Amino acid sequence: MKRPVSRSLSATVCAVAVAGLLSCVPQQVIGKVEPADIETSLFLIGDAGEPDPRESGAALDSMSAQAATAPARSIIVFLGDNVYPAGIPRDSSVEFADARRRLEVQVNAVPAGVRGIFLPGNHDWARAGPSGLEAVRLQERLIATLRGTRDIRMVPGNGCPGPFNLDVGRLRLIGLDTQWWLHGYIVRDSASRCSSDPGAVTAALRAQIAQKQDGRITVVAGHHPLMTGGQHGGYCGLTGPFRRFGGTNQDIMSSANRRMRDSLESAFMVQPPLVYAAGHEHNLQALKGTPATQYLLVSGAGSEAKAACGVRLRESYYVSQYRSGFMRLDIMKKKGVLLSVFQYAGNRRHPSYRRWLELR
Amino acid sequence: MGLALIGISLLPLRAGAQVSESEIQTLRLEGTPIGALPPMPLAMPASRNNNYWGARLQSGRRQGGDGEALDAIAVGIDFQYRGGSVFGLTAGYQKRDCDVLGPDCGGHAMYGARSRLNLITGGGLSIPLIFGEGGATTTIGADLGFGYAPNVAPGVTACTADMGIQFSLAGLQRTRFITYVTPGVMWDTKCSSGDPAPVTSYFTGFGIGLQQVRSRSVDIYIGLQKIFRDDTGYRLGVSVIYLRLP
Repeated sequence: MKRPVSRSLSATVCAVAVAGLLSCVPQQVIGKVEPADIETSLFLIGDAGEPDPRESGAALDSMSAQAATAPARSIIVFLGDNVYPAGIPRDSSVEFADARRRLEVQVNAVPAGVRGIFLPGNHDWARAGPSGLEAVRLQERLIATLRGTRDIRMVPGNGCPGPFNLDVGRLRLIGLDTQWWLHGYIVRDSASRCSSDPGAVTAALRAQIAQKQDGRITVVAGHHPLMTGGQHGGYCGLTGPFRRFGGTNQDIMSSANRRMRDSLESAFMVQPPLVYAAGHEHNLQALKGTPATQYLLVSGAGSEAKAACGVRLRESYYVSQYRSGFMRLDIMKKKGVLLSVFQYAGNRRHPSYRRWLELR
Repeated sequence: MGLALIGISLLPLRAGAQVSESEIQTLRLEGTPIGALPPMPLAMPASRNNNYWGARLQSGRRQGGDGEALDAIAVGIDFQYRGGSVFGLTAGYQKRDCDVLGPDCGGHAMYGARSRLNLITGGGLSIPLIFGEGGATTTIGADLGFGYAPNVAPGVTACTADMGIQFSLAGLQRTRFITYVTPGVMWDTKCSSGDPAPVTSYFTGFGIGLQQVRSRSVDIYIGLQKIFRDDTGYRLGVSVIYLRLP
């Protein structure tokens, strides 16, 4: 005896209806933010070291224009890989002129009166090569030359791992050189004035994180992400399955990377920062944090030529792939921190994503 | 000798009539989770930093073919390794086919183990990018499963093995909408003496679903599966998965 199909269909319709209702979770409504209500604006852009030789690109231009509207309260952080493919070579090298051009475009994107901070990435360490320490110092010196009278610097500086600390109002910005943890060649020489012991670096970071102050908003920035849905996380492309089982130390599953992440997160646990911001992946990701951090941001889409795939993870709030862009954190005078993500395809701006970051 | 045993064992199955070898093979196919429950896509990718545990509730119904509609319900537990591949165990119950086995035929338990291997997620195959969906994800994976169901008919135990590929497209930024296709091959094997010989069958599943419904951790899928053999009808069902985020 056959039964009518209608029972199956009605069950299916019911299931779809229930699913639809369940998905109707109220969304954050974000109204217009008055510029006068903003205490500090932090711009996050990474992997911007491959600008087009003919134009600086929509992401850099737009970020520069936004920062220029209120320079005194704006800070721009370049999250590493400021010069592709292998950082700044010696000025006698034939590659020097183009490497300088790549860096100069970014330095010039910092308007007068805006603070600019450059963090190193693996490409700045001579593509994680033997001359990495020299390359990162050369970049620091070149930034000092190019900046003129503006407040732009490379931190932590001198090839040191950090932590570098900047307090601006309620914002505590902590900068790290995460490639220092992963580098397979010399990370210290006679010119170094910092510890080469990861334990001491972790302890110093823990001490900076632990300093309490009412209303303080801590943002930690480094080049390598703590979580990612990009190629360094074993996603995106045919190499994914192999990178998942280790890959190189630039990949999140490698033992060296995991040691670094564990050390940083152990330091964060004393008082989880609001945000850990990174680049490395050439996409834009806003992710739910871990017990050690409240939000994880990946903003490595500074170069349109490098914009790449990004997979939305279960932890993701937002993903933008194959588009250039940057992120902006507005710390409001009263309460609240607003995350805005701006993305571009060519010179066309796509709708931005905004979210209030909830303070734990 | 074997045929004689089959004949003896099948005599009481249907009043006044024997169940054919083909019908036994179909019951075996449809009596384990791969044939009784709806298809599911690969799990939504998650952070490589963690492993995840999930609970699953599935219900399926065979419709069409020569037999009666067969309802099945199952629960399962899934382990997602490092945000990618999923290994799961299933236990369920399926109503027997009373058209074949006679009135008051009852039901039977069924058990299964399945690995859903995440091979490639994202990359150049993000077709929905054409439509401007920046968060679209393509996933390609492989499926490998085993099923066991005692007494799908009196005296007949079903054992199945299956393998297939998975292809899915997911889009939208918040609650994710996913469509998936799961073609594959399955074998109903001989796991008790006197059963009919193993048979190879091909199948294709298709489905749609919502991921990250509510607390970002609930997924709901509606799947349809067709086994390409006579009298198998099609399988329609719903799967609901709750996954615990660390």
